[in-house]
Amino acid sequence: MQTQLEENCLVKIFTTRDSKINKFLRTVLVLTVYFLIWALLAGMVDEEILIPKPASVFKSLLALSRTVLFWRSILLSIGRILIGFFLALVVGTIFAILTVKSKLVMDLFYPLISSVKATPVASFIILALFWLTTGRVPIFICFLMVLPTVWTNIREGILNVDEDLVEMSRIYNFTPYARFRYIYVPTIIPFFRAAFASGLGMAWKAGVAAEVIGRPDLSIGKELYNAKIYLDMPKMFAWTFVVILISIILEKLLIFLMNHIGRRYGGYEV
Amino acid sequence: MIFKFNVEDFKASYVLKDITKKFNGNVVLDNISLEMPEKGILVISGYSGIGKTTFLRIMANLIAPDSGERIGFDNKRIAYLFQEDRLLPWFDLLTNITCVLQGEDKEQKAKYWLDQVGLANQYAKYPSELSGGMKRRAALARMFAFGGDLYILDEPFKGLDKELKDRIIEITKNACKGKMLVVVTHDKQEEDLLLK
Repeated sequence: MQTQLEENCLVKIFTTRDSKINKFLRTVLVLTVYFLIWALLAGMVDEEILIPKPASVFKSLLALSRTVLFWRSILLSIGRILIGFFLALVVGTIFAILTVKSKLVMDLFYPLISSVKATPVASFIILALFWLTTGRVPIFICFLMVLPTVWTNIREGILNVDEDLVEMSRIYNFTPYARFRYIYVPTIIPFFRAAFASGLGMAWKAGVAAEVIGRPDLSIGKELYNAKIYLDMPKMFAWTFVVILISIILEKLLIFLMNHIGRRYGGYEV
Repeated sequence: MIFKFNVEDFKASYVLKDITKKFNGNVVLDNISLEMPEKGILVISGYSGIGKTTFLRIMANLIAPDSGERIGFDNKRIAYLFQEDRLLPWFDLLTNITCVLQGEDKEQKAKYWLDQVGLANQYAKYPSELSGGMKRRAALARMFAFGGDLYILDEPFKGLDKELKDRIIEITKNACKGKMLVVVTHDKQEEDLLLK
């Protein structure tokens, strides 16, 4: 005979499983709806150059995936964007610490960040093309676009550190490392996670835009541009589909990583 | 502010001399002086807002007085219990205690004190999962585990029910035996138990 506890556990397992199945079904349903709308529109317009049919896009994607160029372009684009993104994380964190510590650094840094936020990304891309090789432009652009977000979030995190806990750590003789590990890191992690999530999407979009304008060899941006030049709409849709897919995968992977760090270093309250 | 002692040998080891403290022009402490021996119990009571906590904070060197002297506190280990629990919300109880300890036996020591205050088998709980009284006891366990030459406790037993309070007061007195224990309280019963 089942005990009450066992029954409760079973109910919980089934509820969790049900909600996961429901979520999956809902996602499939939503995707199917959009797919049908796309197929319907493409059928109505019946012009591959305006809206390619799903089958043509799929064929194009399949053909692309059989080429070395496809995989190398994807890998190099991801590499460039991640370099820019992580550079922004490091520099943004350093400047967040410095601007909290020093009013002078804050006064110097703030107008710079405000200008970066207000300037259209295309202006920076064109400027960067004069200064850097085309392969480095996406790195620089990602760095520049993500930097304000990282800086703002991490600075906010540092300012949110509970002074009462810092005082407690002083009375209980915490070493600087212990203070950092037990108070600063857990306070800042949720802000870091927010910077991570919004910054990555931003980096990906800005990076691909920089590649489209700069057209470095072996890049998704160049392939997108070429597809546009040759009016190869199925190919353009296929590459756009790849961009969206990679963006989702990267975001999920990095958020998984951040959650792991959060659990390991106590970034979340239970 | 009322000071009541329970000491065997009153030879001044800790001295606070002519302590004055103002906040935004308001005088909170006006030339307060106090001498304390190396071991014993001192209970401080008085109306709210007369500067008891400020006095304790100056004693623990958490804030500096505007004028006056602190003598005999240098090189002394001070274990302080804040009016608030100030537990780390991101970590379980065991980590909350071990983070103030050094050495290989820190986990054992932390468990010992958690057991003492009646929090055995609660090691893995997070502060948000505990009641007010349990959090208070965890904060006390952290302070006992840290240990010191001088124990300063700001309203340590608030939120504890009568039975538990009596037991925790006994544990406090035993833990601080041979050291100086300074307690701020508003409760007459707590005062009597401490000075008994």
